[in-house]
Amino acid sequence: MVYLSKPASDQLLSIASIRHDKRSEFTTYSYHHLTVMSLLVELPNDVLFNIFKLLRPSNIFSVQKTCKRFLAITMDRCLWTSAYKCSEDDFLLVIDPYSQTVGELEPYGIDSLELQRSEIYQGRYLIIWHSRVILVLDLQTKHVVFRYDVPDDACLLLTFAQSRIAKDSRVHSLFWNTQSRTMSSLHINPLGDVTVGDLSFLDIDNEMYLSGDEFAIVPQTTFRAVHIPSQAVYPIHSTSGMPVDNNYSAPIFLPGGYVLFHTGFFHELSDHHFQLYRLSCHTSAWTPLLPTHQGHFGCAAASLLSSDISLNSCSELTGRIWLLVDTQKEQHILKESRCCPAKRWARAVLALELSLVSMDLGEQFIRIGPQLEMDYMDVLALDGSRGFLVTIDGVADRIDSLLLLSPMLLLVELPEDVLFNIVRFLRPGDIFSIRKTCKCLLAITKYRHVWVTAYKSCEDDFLPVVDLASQTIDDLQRVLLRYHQLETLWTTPSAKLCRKKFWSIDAAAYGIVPRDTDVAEVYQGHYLVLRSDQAIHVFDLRTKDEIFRYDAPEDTRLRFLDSELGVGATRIFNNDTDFCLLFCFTYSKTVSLFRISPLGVISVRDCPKLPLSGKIHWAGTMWAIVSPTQANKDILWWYPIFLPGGYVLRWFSSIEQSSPHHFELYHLSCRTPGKPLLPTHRGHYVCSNWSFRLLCSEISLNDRSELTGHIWLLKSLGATPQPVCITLHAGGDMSFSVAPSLSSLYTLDLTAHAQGKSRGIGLPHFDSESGEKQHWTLWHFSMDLGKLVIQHGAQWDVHTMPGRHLAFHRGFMINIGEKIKIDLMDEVS
Amino acid sequence: MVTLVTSDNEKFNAEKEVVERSVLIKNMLEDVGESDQPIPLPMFLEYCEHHRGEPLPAPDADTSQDDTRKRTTDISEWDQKFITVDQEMLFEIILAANYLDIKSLLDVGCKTVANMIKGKTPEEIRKLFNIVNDFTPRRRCAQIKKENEWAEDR
Repeated sequence: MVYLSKPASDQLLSIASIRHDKRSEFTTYSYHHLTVMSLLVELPNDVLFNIFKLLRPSNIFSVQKTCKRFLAITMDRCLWTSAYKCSEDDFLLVIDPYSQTVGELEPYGIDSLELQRSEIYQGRYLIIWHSRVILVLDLQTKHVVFRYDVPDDACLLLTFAQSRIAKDSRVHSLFWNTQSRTMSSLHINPLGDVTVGDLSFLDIDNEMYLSGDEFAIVPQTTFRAVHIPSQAVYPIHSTSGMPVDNNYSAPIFLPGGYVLFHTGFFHELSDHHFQLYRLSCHTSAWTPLLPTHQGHFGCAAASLLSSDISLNSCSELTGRIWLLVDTQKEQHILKESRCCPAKRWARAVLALELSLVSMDLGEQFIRIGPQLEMDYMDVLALDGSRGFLVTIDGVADRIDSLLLLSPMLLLVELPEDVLFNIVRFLRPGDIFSIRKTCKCLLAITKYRHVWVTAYKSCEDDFLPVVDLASQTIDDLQRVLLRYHQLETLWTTPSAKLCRKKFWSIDAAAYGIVPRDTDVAEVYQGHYLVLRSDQAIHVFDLRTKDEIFRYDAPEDTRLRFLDSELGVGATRIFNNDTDFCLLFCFTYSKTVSLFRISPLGVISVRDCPKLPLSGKIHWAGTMWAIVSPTQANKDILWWYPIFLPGGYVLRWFSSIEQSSPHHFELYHLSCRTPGKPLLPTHRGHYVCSNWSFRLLCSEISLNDRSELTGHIWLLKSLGATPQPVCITLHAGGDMSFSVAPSLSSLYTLDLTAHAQGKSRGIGLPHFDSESGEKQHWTLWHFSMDLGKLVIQHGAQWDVHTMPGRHLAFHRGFMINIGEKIKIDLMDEVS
Repeated sequence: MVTLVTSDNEKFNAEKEVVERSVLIKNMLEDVGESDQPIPLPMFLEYCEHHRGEPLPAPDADTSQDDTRKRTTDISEWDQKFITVDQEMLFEIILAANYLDIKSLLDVGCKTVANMIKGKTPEEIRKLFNIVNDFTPRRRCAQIKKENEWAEDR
């Protein structure tokens, strides 16, 4: 194992960088350089890794630019993790769990004008306080992570956020106990740890400056330093032997037990005198503390950004201090600033170079930041803001490096399989977003299975049914983009249509006599089916082409299955929702089932045993319910509703208006041959003669194999649609709960998908008599069944044609008149 | 009892049932058998302890669930509190769950990241995760044009 001290590794690396920078002149270097150079690159990887672990992040960045091998070694994540963990710096974020919300601020009854605030924990937290309470707010999650109420017998004098000093980045506060008239220190960690320090040995009733729980500076007539653990108090003198008096501004504590004093007022650009003291180097309580370094520079008062002070090989104190100062180019404006506070100030980074005994205030390190319009108070409030630094160009390398080391980069550094796992939970719209962020995430979305997974995970009736095996990536993206656009249309409040498509079909040319029941959408709005007595036409709504036509035999009349209810029942019942069912009623009194697929394949099933005396209600190809003939004229039978999973809900009522509806639920797939099918649940619901339509259902077996769940229906007849929830109890009972009416909108169509969302199209009013030649405005809304929150989507002015019209819910509306006119909503802004 | 040793050499004793939520540890225990030899692994005992007793996903659940798993990003209240950490820790948890093969924890982490991405524009995502936009302007235009060709009307 080879271990190199830091200076040695720095030396080697400087040689390495020489090779990189002076490649063209390399031959002119001495043999010694060549030898050392070759030795360095020939070291084993683990040794090089050990060397690099000793480097600061900025040096690692330099090293990785030297050659491919070094680059490869620095690609090891452990190296960066180690560098991050070893960097004690306030630009690195800290970690903390918490649970409270920002809304808790309001109950505290704190007037925001009374509040004082300061950032702590490297800008991660904001501390807010006034005389009675201290709150710690997480700036990322906007949660209050900690609250401290000041005791009744104490008052809060000052609160410091000296995160740069103490390793644990605690908040330090001073209390003045009004009863005992003694001072106490309070240390708060955002995790909630509170410790109270005893400062009663200090005979003061004035302000003081705390540096963690070890040092304090007491500014009375002159500054005195306090070592809290030993309770030692000693004066602070300048190099001339005079005590440091109150002409100096508040001390700036540095990590390692250093403190920096400087003269001058906060916003006065005079020649400031800086003095650095090493508090931890004090030997005797009676000996004054003398400065290690001093220097002059003209700037407004400073706040600490960072410092790097250490002993060199000769035990001399060297290093740098980075300060954030306020400066101004035009001196004369500055002079007016104190009487006219709203002036243009600039931020700058000042680097103090520590030489042997004096400070070299190197002007070459000064970088003027963006010009900010702010008044005096703003300057105070922004003091020390770390977000500001990010915008400064050309700041010292170390700062840049640390910013680059931000852990937020880790998302794109996650392994591909983890990124795939994250993408799996995204909706198509979000996948379209992340692919535009960077090349890494773009590359992830180029895999086919990302889109296949996205397609399979979408449970929505906007999603066209496609044969996944035959789809290319582009095809899948197109399908999902279309889905995303329609989804946006329905879920974005007040979305505006930016493009509409119009399409007109000359019904007469196809031998179609337009009626409501002659038109149906299938395949989630992907296709349109038109029916005449003798033929079936299937159109692709996207390409507007007729993709399939079926001509029936001469003795056959074609009817849509369940034409009274449209194909909606079929759509809901079948999970695959990929077909339109027809029945063929021939003159030979037999029924045949046709299955139409967009590929043009028809499968036929004859049902010769089916009685034709009653009304037939179909649920896919599996089940049909034959309604009884009206033997009892006092009972009114309503259409049954088929539910997913092989259930059917049927109800009947007395002709009397006030009589309750009787509901019965049957499980069709659980029948016993030869025995009548009995209902699993029964219930009664008093209402007028409403007709119900299915929104969605959720029925399952519980732990004891009992059937429980919910069925959402919509009372759809009339001008005020109203959702009704039927709860299925384990004992076989039903209970009914009624949600508030949707609105005064007349609902033209409403559907739901398995995620419990419902969608519909509503008109502000509905008057079938005056519908001719007038503009209708449709409000598309989606409804969350659990919360019953209605979100209005795009508005759409529709010029209805003479005659009847139909509106479908998947992004198009069909007017049926002399011509069948179809308005397709295509995109939203 | 099993002894887990963290990367910083801290030792934790935990019940076998708890730590076997990690498929990796489970396999290691099966390979090693009952032994006093400590196993050097990072700790996720808190998560595993809370979820002890819950059924483990079947080994082939990955493939079979993919078709049927719906896009729900709901996270239980406890898990949500557990995973409320800053981004660095979140990614560390995800990486560790991936390494230890703790499917449920990996899902919780990935769902959390997915929830952070949801509904945001590309620029907002870049800002949130500090992603550098490395598309060159010319390439960006060409790429966007090429990628959107398919979306044009046919």
